[in-house]
Amino acid sequence: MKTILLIEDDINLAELVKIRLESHGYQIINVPDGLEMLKIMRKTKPDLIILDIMLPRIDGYKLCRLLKSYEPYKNIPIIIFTALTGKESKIMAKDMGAESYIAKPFDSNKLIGEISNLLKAN
Amino acid sequence: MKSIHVKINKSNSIRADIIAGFAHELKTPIASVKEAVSLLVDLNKVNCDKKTKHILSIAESEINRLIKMIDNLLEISLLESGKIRLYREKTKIDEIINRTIGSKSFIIQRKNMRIKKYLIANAPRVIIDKDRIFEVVANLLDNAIKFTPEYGTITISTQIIKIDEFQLKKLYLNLKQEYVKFTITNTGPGISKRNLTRIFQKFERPDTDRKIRGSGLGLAIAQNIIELHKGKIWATSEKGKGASFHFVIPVER
Repeated sequence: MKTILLIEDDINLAELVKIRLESHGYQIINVPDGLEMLKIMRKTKPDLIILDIMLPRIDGYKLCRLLKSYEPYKNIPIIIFTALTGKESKIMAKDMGAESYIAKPFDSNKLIGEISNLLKAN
Repeated sequence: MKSIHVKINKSNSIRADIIAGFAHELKTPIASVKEAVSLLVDLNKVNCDKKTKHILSIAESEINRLIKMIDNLLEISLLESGKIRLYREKTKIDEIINRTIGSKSFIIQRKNMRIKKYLIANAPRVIIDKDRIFEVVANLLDNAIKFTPEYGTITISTQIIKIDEFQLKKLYLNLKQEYVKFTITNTGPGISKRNLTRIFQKFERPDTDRKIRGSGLGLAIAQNIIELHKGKIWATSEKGKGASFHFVIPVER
């Protein structure tokens, strides 16, 4: 079973995304912020990461760069969760080194599709 | 005088920031509601009775409508404060037109409408922000579909025009410039003379129907986008005889 690390501070959205992804057979680890993320990084290695870049108190951009520069996590695909328009999200993802993006509010079929594609590519 | 202008622009910019910030914040709770309803639909496909299914489908479509309205609000406030960035590339306008028609094929079929296209062959490419011009054309087509009765006809045409075909005074376009002109005509109730320019204002609704829904921002957004491309958009009509919407975009050779 593939594991997805979800870094999302909104409890309700995180819960719903977890239900959705679990119904597709994925195991979800949800952390609410960068600090918790750092703790997890030492213990687990997920197959994919979903990162909300609108986290409070910490720059999502910096988090993404941090994840990519951490050797064991180097090749784990990252999907960024944004509230920007499609085009701006695309540019932002590229800037940050993320593999893909999903704009909120999202189409769950798109999210599942992106996850599936990225996991296959790996 | 100048300092008043600066103050007004600054307050518009602050207002735009507040609206944009708020619209931005709304996206997370709306994402939750959208996903919650979607999960209810998807996880209960088998044991869901007709009534529940119907209620959920109303919830889904209203959520999508809400999302569109917030996106429009965000867009108009960014456009008005000059904070929009255009991502321009050389494009054939036909490509945008065909894509737009394709995206509305379901409702066009459902209303048994005819779409007549008169697109000039080998139209020069224009340098435009594809997504935004798509938005303009989609909005104009949406309106045409809304205001044309079932079994009606919508005509879309393109032309190349040079400035002397225009009434210069009214449109203030560049003398030495060539333009691609897009026109869409519907066979709806038409627009009264006094409303021909008013409809491009924010929140203006047509004088007739309360049934026809929309945020009232579509044409204001379209006007902003076309003018950002150094073009012009306008409407012509006679009450009871349908309406035509036109826009021109400069050709850059």
